[in-house]
Amino acid sequence: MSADKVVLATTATARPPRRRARIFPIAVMAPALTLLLVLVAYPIAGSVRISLGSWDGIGAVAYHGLDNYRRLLRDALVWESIGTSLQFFIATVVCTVTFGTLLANAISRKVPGARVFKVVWFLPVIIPVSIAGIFWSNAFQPATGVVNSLLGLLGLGDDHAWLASSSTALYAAIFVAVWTQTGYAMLILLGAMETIPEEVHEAATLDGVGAAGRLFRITLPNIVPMLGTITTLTSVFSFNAFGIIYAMTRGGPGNSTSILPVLVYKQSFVDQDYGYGSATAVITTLIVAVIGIMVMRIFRQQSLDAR
Amino acid sequence: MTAPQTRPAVRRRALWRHGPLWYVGYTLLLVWTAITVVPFVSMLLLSLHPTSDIYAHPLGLGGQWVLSNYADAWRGVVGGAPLSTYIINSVLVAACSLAIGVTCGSLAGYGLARASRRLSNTVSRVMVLALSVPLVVALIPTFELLGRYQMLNSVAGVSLVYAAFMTPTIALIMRSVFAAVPRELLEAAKIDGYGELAALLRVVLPISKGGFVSVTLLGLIFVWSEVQFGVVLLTRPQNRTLSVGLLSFQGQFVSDQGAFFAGLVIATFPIVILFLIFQRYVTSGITLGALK
Repeated sequence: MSADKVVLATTATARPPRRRARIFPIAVMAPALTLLLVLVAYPIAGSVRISLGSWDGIGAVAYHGLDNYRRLLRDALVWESIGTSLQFFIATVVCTVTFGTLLANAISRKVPGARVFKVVWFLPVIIPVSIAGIFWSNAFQPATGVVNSLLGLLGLGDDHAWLASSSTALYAAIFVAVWTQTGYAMLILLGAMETIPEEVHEAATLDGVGAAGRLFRITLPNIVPMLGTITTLTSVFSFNAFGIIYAMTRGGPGNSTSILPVLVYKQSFVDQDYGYGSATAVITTLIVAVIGIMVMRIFRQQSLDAR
Repeated sequence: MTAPQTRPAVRRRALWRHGPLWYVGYTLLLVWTAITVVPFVSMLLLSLHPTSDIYAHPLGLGGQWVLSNYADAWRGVVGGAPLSTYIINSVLVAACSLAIGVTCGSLAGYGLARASRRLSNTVSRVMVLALSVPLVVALIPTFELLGRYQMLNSVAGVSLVYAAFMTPTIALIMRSVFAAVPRELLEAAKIDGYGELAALLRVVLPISKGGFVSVTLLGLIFVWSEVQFGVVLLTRPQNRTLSVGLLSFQGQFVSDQGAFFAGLVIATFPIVILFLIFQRYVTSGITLGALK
């Protein structure tokens, strides 16, 4: 799109040392591409390789084809984990994108205090996720935690053991994930909203369109592509939210909060079953890829419809 | 079209004549603001009380006020190493990985801005793909790779991994920054006899300082908070970074809540203060990276 325009066309600028001008961009990209090849591409291929055998952390991989994948299909723990991941992912993405949109809209409509809000709402993105997880898990403790103390003040009781119960632990983790990501979604969506000319909003206001009407009929149709981007980013993040879960619950109680990366960690680095862990990691990546493609398809269709 | 004098009137009406729904909405914004700041305020308040007072006043508003928790946390051994060790490790890892990541990433960004459109788009797509890969799929082979070269539990090993994963983001942001450099400037540099590299170092870099501040801070936020690789690649307590080391904090300091919260403050506030100072650069960097 617009990025095409800003890319400098070297063919036009380079005259005499034409060859050097062509090699130069490749030469400066080489270190980064090497880094990506060795520490991103090679490990991804490595996961596929190790997933085809068993490996105990030392020595060579003993290959035995698709055995790990067959075992995976019959493993109730894996299916449970996929279900947990999907719940975690859907709830986190829906809440993060919705809250992010509403907060960004409030700032772009310049509610009183908008400048301060923009900084304050972004703060949770800065805090290390492990510390967010540790703080909130402490805050969710019965009686002594901040959350329960505040609930107690409101007369709602201060003895909820949020993280000790498998029915509420996942909700607590979703809350923390949304807490850490909403500021990021807000900022990116705000960037898109600020490209909408102010006159459009003024004209709509003159025509008697209310705030909600403007949100649905002006703002949202104009930020569909960016909503797609942030939904994809949040999806990848929430499928990968190892830090939050590990800091809060280590995947427990039982396996109730074991999203896929936590399960991979347990299979590999606790049970020392690296081949099996790699197979789960590969499946995780495939699920993320399918979801990413689906999200992009949906939003591309939407942005075509809006035109 | 609208007569010019009616516009301010409309604006004033939009600002001051709100329906009841507006106030409901605004209250919700204030509630979200409270949820956002509670952890920061709460850990700060609680870190200033002796443990016995924390149990009595979980909101941190009553009891004795003390500073001794900070000394306890700083010296206190958490999961096998003192907090001060973790902080030194975090600073070292951040410095090394940022030096590598920002250098490689910005060079790549410059290449993307100067390459032919086809090459630039292809490499950008590779970067976006690398950016969306879930880290977990690289975990086990990276562990194997670093183990093979004796680089587990080393600053160099984990820094290289962090540098690799921050490179795509930095490259894409710096591409936008460099693309904004006027082409006339590069042509003028060429006429003055600068080669490509000299033009980059002496002409382009000085006017792109803001972009460097942005990507450095974004990289720092990533490194300071990363735990998934950290947990796997830094297994010895004395080599752990702050966010990895703190994971064993909870069990350890269960009896000393005061030191626990002081530790959280020590880990959180340096980066929060940096953000508040350079807030504009962080937000502009994120927006630049996304808008394309």
